[in-house]
Amino acid sequence: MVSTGDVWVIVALRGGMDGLGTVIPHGDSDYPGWRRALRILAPGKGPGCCLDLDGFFGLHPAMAPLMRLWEAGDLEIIHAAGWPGARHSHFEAWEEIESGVEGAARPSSGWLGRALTEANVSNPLAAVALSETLPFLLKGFPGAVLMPSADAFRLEVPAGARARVGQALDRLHAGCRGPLEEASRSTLAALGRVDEIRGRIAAGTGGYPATRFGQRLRLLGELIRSGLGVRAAVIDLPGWDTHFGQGAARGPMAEKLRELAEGFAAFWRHVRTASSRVGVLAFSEFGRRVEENGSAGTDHGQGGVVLRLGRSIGNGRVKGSWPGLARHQLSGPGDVAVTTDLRRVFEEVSPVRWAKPVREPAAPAPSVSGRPGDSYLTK
Amino acid sequence: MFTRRDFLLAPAGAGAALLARRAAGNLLDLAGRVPSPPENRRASDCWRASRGWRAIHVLNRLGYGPRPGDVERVRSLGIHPYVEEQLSPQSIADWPSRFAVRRIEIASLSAPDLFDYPASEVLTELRRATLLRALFSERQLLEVMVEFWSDHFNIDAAKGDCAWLKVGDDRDVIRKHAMGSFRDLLRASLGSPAMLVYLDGISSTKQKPNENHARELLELHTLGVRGGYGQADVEEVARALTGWRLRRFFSRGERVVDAASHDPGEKTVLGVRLTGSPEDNLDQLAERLASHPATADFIALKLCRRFHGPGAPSSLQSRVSLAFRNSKGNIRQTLGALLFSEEFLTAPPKLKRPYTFVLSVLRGLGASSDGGPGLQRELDMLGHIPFGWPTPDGPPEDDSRWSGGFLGRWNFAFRLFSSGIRGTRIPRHLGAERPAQVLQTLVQRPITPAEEAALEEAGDSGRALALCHPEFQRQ
Repeated sequence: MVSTGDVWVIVALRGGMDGLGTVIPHGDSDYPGWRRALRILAPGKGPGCCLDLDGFFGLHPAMAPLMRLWEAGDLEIIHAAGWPGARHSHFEAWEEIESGVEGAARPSSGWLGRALTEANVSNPLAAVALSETLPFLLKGFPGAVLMPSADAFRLEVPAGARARVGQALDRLHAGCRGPLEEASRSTLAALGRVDEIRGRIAAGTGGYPATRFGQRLRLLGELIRSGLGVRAAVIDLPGWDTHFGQGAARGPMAEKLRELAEGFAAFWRHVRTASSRVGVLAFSEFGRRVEENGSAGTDHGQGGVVLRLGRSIGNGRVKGSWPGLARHQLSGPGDVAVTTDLRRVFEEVSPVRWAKPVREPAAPAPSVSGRPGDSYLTK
Repeated sequence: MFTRRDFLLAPAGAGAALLARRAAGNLLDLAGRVPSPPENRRASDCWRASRGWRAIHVLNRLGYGPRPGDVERVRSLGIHPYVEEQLSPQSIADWPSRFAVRRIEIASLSAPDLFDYPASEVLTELRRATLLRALFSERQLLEVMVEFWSDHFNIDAAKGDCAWLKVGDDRDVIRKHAMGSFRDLLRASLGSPAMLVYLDGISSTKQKPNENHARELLELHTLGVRGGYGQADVEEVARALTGWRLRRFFSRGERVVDAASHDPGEKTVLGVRLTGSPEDNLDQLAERLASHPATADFIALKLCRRFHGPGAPSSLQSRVSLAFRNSKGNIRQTLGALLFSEEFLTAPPKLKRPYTFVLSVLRGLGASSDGGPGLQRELDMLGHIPFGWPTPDGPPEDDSRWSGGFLGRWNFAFRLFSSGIRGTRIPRHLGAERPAQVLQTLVQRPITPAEEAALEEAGDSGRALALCHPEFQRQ
């Protein structure tokens, strides 16, 4: 939890990641009927086959780097998880999910920002967003720092002048008060700290993917290992809105999954033994429609996949209650029904009470080909 | 008594004489407060210490900030005459802007010819033209509205052929209708080749219509997410949008009807039946959506947020929405209701987004720029470059989304003053001025001894530091 010194890394998989194409229910006899061009085969010898996880579900082959974590019990997968109420709009979904409250009368702050404020963390690098703009998730915590890259995070003046210029900036902000000024002071304090680890970050890829996501994860790994007091970090991996040409075992989505898996594997190697306990939580605003569309892609759906990394949090079975893929078991226009509320997952990170009581999603009808998985709530 | 309503109903230009008379009675306000140093003021009060703060306010909101001499010009013209002039861009001669973009070839080319050039080159040139206009045009409000609508009908030039296609979209959709009729703007966007690619209409079929454009059309372009449409409407709109492809060989990049993929049946959207050809469907769709009351509310909300700021009172939003409806979606008249309001003229400061900040620096210092790759890279690093936002919602207006990015702005300032931005230069004389003088030029008020001392402490970087002053981050 945020208040007990753990580090939480939130990975926002923006666009709506296709849960069905990431963690394949190969044991569900209804699966092949819905996916033809996008079908991933049951576990077997060929490259188009998924990697078996627990006898019913399999992992997309491009995510092979995560199998080691799965076998070690450091990877937890929750299927058919999502935000209650069908929200097929990306932007409203993210606003709700990041604010943590359903409906129109929600606070204009993120649940993570509120949790950090309530936990009274004061370290200048307590909350780091590895992006160019501040995620809504961190709103409500004025000390959040933007760090799109290590190089970006320094004053571009001659090395000898940095200290003096830093002090001058501090004085310049002394005259007026406001959230802008607070954010600036937080940045100045953080600058000092990051200077200390800049040298380590400069060369090579460190075993991470050479993409923006990969290198930002690497920077985060360095920040965490240096004991600089990071408590929460938010990083985006967009590109999941596969309405068109999604691909199956190979294709654009497979490439993204590979990037995600390689990034996570490298990150976990890097921080697993850090002194603070690190947890990673990756989720999307919704899953995608069970039936593929006419453009060899999928449209917006509901239930999707949540991934978590943490020491010994997995038990060899995919969590969540699988609602089944028979037509009468689908929700709305043909989506995977949501059986685990995202807010229950968030509660692992933050004990902050939600403004409205958590609404339990309606129990799914018993499925013929589905199986009763562990309910996430009773693990 | 002359009222705002009289102005809005009067033909453009005739209002100026009436307003000049009224403005004369307001001279005392403009000559205004005796400027005093802002010791210990709250951030929201600091800005009113300037002489002519109203002039600075309108120059900051209707455009990208005052250049040297602009404040005096607007004060002598009068606030209301200035606003009125900006509302009629065609009445402003604007040779500086035309001169600046004269050599940009692609600005006058159409899609088939543009494909002869590499995408990156086309995009750089399009951005160059955009930046030069924003920097040098006298039609500042027009440029701000071009930015507003480009954000509203967001297109990421990185997707597919959009880099080539956005040139036409910028010219024929956005610029052509930026201050005209919203219905025409919407119809033009529905017919835009760039939008067809960006929101996946190009692969939509009647068997499996692609819902992306349909959803964003309702949620982001017209009614807004709580505008009262449902999933059924999304599906019907998706059907109505089918039937379009782009030519691939002759006249490459132009839209063409593809009967095989068009769903010819009747569609019902928000209670209205759409019939006829693909063209007819788009016409009917534009008409239905533009005239929907939720659209008026949504556009008013966005305009108020852009010009007034996050705390725009709902009474202002209602009046702007009413003006939109009464004028049948005339953007100019809707803006008039907003920009002449007392709420707007006294709106508290709001954070400049990075794009506006960079432009306000260059204008405020009287810098010269070629608008080219050097300056574009700066904007890219700040996360706010034209036609570069990946998602259809466009760059956010919310202040707090851009907080925490101040290090980027500071470093932009340091690079600017150390000649580190290729193609952009500050006037030579600034290199010899005292840092306090640079700050005074930007914030247009006397500088306190504490501020002066802070700038001096930074030594050679003191002049750059002036740009980092928190007051200048706000407009």
